[in-house]
Parts: sequence; structure tokens; C-alpha cells
Amino acid sequence: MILKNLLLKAFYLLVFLFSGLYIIIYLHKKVLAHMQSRRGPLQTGFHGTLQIFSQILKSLLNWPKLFTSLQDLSNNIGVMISLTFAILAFLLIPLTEDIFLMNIEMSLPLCLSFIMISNVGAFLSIRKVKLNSNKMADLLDRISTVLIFSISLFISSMGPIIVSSSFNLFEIVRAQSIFYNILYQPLSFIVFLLSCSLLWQRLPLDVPLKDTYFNTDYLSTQTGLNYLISTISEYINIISLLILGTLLYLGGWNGPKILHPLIWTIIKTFILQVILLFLYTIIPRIRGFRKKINLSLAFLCLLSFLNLLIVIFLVLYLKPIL
Amino acid sequence: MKGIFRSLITVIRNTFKRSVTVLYPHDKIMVPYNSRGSIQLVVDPDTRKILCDGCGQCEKACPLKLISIEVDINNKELKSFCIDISRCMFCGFCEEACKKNALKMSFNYELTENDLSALEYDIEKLTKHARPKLRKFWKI
Repeated sequence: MILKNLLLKAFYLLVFLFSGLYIIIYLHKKVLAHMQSRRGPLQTGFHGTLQIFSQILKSLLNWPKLFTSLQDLSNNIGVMISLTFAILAFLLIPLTEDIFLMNIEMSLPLCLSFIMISNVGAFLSIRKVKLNSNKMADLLDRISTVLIFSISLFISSMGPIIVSSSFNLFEIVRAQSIFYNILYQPLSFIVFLLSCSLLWQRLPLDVPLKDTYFNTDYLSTQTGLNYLISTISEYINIISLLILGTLLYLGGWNGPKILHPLIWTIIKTFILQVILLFLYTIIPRIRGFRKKINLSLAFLCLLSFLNLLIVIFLVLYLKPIL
Repeated sequence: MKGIFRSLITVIRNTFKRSVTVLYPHDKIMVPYNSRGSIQLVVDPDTRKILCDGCGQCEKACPLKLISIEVDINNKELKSFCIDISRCMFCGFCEEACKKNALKMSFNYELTENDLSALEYDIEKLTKHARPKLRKFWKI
């Protein structure tokens, strides 16, 4: 009975993951194209709906490339790390009160750290690395930027944690049954989204490498299955960060009981994604390592500390009255 | 902040507007009125005969000397009219030189072929536009 229940939950999660992947990749291809007054995919299927499957098939059927890439393990390690940690982070996130796989006390910080590891892992392709090579420098640059932005990310997520007085995602959502966190913590919400944009590699912090580069290293050098896995892990990270955003600030599965709680989470994540798509196109790209440090340490950390002060004041003086 | 709001407005406008780019083989952009494509021989719609009498003015006017005309001296009729479109620069001098208005620059810009020799147009290709399509369909 327990096994059957677990399998059902896993099935639900997989269906959610794959459908979410499909919808988000299609949104990123089609809606972003229309925002930039392009047309996006049109050829395969109705308005390019089957484009994603064709691309997956194309990279899967790239057999000669696959075998050569399997031969040197060092190139595969980074990709596998990024995928496994992305899936682990997704499995820690509950979708509703019933649909979840793991209920760990420290689920929020664990989830965030897994996403960070998977983000760094994609750059770990250590093939033909010399001491003064570019790839090593890229890896170090990536690690440093992720660490810098992790400070603001963790401090901003301290707001909801203080309100619910727990690191558990269930408790954080249960604490929002009356007031959603976004109502009195908009600052922390903004900081969370901006520092997440580094982790999901979209604008305004999409370029993790040198200023002269226009795309990430592992997407331009890898082919076949490696490319597919690295892009899919990137999109899984986007989904898990979006759901985390809804759980922390938009009340998760809380909502009027007209609809199923799972549908509420889906609607909220979809709305968040659409808002973020607008943000990608509007905010200009932030370039340069020093500018990134300034943004993180001087601006985002300051905002999140301000938010923390407000939250502590509310918890100490207003919560007893309510 | 002002710039960001302005860009937000343009992005929202773009999403609901028709996109600038087109999917080429299926949709085509309207060609400007003054544009010049490949050359074509004008055919009289009533008599269905080519207006050109082979005076050779266009042959002289062509700066690259791409046009070659042969005329039957006895009947004073056009025997052959050849032009190498692969080297043509669409200057339109031949159209200007023609006194009978028998030459015309069309709007056809899709001139790719697999073979270079296919780009040497003869009378048949130059009067392709005037050929009745229905006859071709029913093979009459």
C-alpha cells in the first residue's frame, strides 16, 4: 500500500515535471519571440508545437557524437552532476499537501544549495584543461558569482523562514494561509527573483562568463546527448525555482476551495513565469564582474536586510495582536 | 526607470502586433514598386505575339553585353532572344532603350537554379509570364 502510494506520487511528479518542461520551453521559444517581434518556431506541428520533440530526437539520434562523448568521462561528469542535482532539488519540493516525495526539516536551504551545485556542475567539463586555459577560468568565475549571489538569495529567503519559524517548505506554506508573504515582503520577493535570474541563466544576469562572450561555454561546445542533458537540467532548475517562488511568496497551494490545490500551484507558477518573461525582455543585461558584485552586495543585500528588519518588527509586535 | 517603462510598453505592443519577420517560402513580403527583377518580353494580349521586332537597341544599351538577338531577315521576325541572367545587374537600360516597350523588368527575384546554364534565358523562358496557366494544367 505504501509502495503503491509512493509510486502514484512519483508518477504525479513526473507528469508535472514533463508537462512543465514542455510548457516552459515552448513559452521561452514562442512568447519571447513574439515579444521581440519575431515569429518563433512555426514549421513542425501547429505553430511549432512539436519543435521540442524534434530537437530532442535530433540530439538523441546523433549516435557518433554520443559515442565519442561517452568515451571521455571527464566531459560527462559535469553534465551528469548538473542533471542529478537538478532532479534532486525538484524532488524536495512539495506540490500540494499530499503530492510530495520527501519531507525533510531543512528542505528549503537544501533545495537552494542543490540548484546551485547543479548550476556550477554544468561548467565542470574538464576536458583538455591546462592551468592557464579558459575553461578553468570560466569555472572559477562561475563559482564565485554563484557564491556571491547566494548571500543575497539566502538572506532574502530568511523573511518567509522567520514568519513561519521553520526551514520546512510545508510549514512556510501553512503560515501563509491568511496573508501571502508577497503582501508585506515585496522587497524580498524582488531580491529573490533577481538573484534567481543568475541561477536560471536568463536576463538580466544571463551571461555567467566574460563580457566578450555572448553565450555560455557548455552550450556552444557540447553536442548530442550532452547538450540535451545540460539544457534540460537548466530548464528543470527554472521550474523548481519558479515553484519555490510560489511556495515562498505567493502562498503555494493555498487558495479558494473551488479548484484542486495542485491547480492553484500550477496557475501561480504559470503567472510568475509570464511576468518573468516580460522582465527578461525589459531589464538590460548587467555586464562585468564588478558590477555584479556591486549589485549583489550593495543593493540586493541591503534590500533584503531592510526587509528582514520589517519582518522582525511585524513578527515581534503585530503577530501577538493578530 | 523611465527607459524600463518605455521598453515595457514596446514589449507589450510587440506581443500583440504582427511580427516583422516572415517565414520566407510560405509568406512573402510585398516587393516595392520601383524594384527591378528579371527581364521579360511583353506579349500582345489580343494577337498573342511578341512585340519585339529585334531592332537591337537593347543589345547595344546593355553595359555587360549579355543580350544576343537573331533576326530572320526575310520575314523580319525574331528568331532568338537570349540573355544571361546570372551576370545581369538589373540596371534597366534595356528597358529604357526599347522604343516599342517590348521589354519589361518584372518583380521576379527568385532566380535560383541548380545549374548555371539554366540561367541563360531564351524566348520561351522570357515569355513564361504570358503563358495561359489553364492550358498548361489540362495539357491542351
